[in-house]
Amino acid sequence: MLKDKLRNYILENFLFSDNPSDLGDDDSFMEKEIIDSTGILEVIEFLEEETGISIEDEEMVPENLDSVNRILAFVERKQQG
Amino acid sequence: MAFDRLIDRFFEAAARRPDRRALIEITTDGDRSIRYAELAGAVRRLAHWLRQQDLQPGARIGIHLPNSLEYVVAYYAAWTAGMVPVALNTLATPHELSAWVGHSGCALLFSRQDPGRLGVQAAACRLCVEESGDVAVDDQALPDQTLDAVVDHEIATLIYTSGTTGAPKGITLGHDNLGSNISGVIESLSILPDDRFLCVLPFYYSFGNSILHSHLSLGATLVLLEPSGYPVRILEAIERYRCQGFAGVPSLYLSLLKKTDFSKHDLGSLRYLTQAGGPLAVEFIRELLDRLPGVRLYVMYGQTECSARIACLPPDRLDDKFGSVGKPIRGLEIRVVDQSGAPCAAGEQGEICVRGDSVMRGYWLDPVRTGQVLRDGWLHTGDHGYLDEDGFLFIVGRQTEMLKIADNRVSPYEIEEVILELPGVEECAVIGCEHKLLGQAAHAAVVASDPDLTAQAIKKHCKQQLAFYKIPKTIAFVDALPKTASGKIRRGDIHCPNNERNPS
Repeated sequence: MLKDKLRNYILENFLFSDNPSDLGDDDSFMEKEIIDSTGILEVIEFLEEETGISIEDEEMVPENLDSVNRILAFVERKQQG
Repeated sequence: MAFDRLIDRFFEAAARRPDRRALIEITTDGDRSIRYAELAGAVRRLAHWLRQQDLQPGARIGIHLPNSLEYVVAYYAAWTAGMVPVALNTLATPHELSAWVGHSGCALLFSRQDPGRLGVQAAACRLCVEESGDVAVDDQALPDQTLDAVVDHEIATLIYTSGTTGAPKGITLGHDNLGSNISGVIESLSILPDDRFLCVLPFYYSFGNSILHSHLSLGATLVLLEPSGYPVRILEAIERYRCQGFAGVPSLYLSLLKKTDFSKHDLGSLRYLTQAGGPLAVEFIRELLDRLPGVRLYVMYGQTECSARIACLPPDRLDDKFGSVGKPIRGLEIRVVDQSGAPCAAGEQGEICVRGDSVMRGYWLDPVRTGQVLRDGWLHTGDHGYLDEDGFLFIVGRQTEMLKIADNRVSPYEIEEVILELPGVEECAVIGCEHKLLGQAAHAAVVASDPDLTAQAIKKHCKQQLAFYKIPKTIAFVDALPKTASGKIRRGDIHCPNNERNPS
């Protein structure tokens, strides 16, 4: 399931933690300093590899990518569209 | 005064063009801007406030702010009050920050963050600048100590970069150094007073610092955009504000090329781009020029020890001098020397040395390291290269073992020191390995005395002590580190996880 994979990926690569409660699904990556500007590009690459979707430049905005829930909603919209 | 200071040029420009917008700051809450008259007023008001505090001329004023109206007002107010602004990396951890604040002896710090959280030993103030130029300072915590150190009044700023030993290295620049370098940059790039320039590079590094002063000393407009990891924002900003210029480092241009579609934006206002901060591969330069026909690309080479910029390759020489970083900017001389210190012949490789008005005074309170690089009247850059028969400079490599991660200079020793603090770590060596998004990423080879020590525990420990980009992406547990007979670690024999050699 993408949600688990995504959460594990962020916990493992950005929070260096096994504890799921360290990452809230609505936590803003930027505000909570979970992921920096270079890290966002890594997350995008992870999403493209995991889901097969291609993320266009105009979609690379915080509204789509700045929390677990925002990413899931964005991917769902992409896959339906 | 024997030289014209940048702060005087700024006030002259403000008097000439009071109604022109000096700064436009793009934020998630909407854009804000300030005109030259308001900005000059805000600078004078804050300078007046600074003079009323218990601070001596030459006092170091820490500026721990992102690129913003506040940053510029604080920086220029410190100059106006006869003090020395010290811009501090906003991505730094409290551990790094307190080392720089302590080393420079900052008496006062401007920051948006809670001083307790920053962990620094200096009074911290919040500053708020309105578009009208009104200034508010939250001065709950004022300095109660006076500084004993007498500072040369000609010192303009200290810039902290990572030293190879991991100890703070404060590059000390005079007003004459910066002023001369900025004049050379303006001439090399033909910057015009009517230009609008998009700046995403942090002012606390010398490249961003150079962009700031070169535009505000002319009366031009700077558009500020926080680097967000969303490159499309850059194209949107150029389009919206009809910018004439933009500066980037290789990773920024790579993300623009990989992740944006130039054809979806009207970039017709763009006249030129500058690129520095390490080599951008030939194929990417070609692609950039193909996708932006008519735009001029200036490849530059610089070093903070030389104020900012050393050499520039004019766009019309890109084709016949491909791979070169050009010729010295005005006021500087370059020569290449062999190991004995003798000048090399054309085409012969050696260490690049620079001489001229832009070369720093030295490293703050560090005569030993200063003496290592300022010798025989020349700055020894530590970079390797050669001059061709026409005097064009080509960079071959860097002598030092510094890593370059997402265009930040990182000392491997600094990361090693942090890893070695962890119980269960016996030895550790950090090298740079190729990383497709970051250019380089840190890789640590660790000899562990505790068999239960995990890579995750090491990374988590690093996260508490180091800026994010410095955290090793990969960690290998090894039985022993390769060493020379005298016990020195042979970094060249440590392999990256993909078994490729460390690119030098």
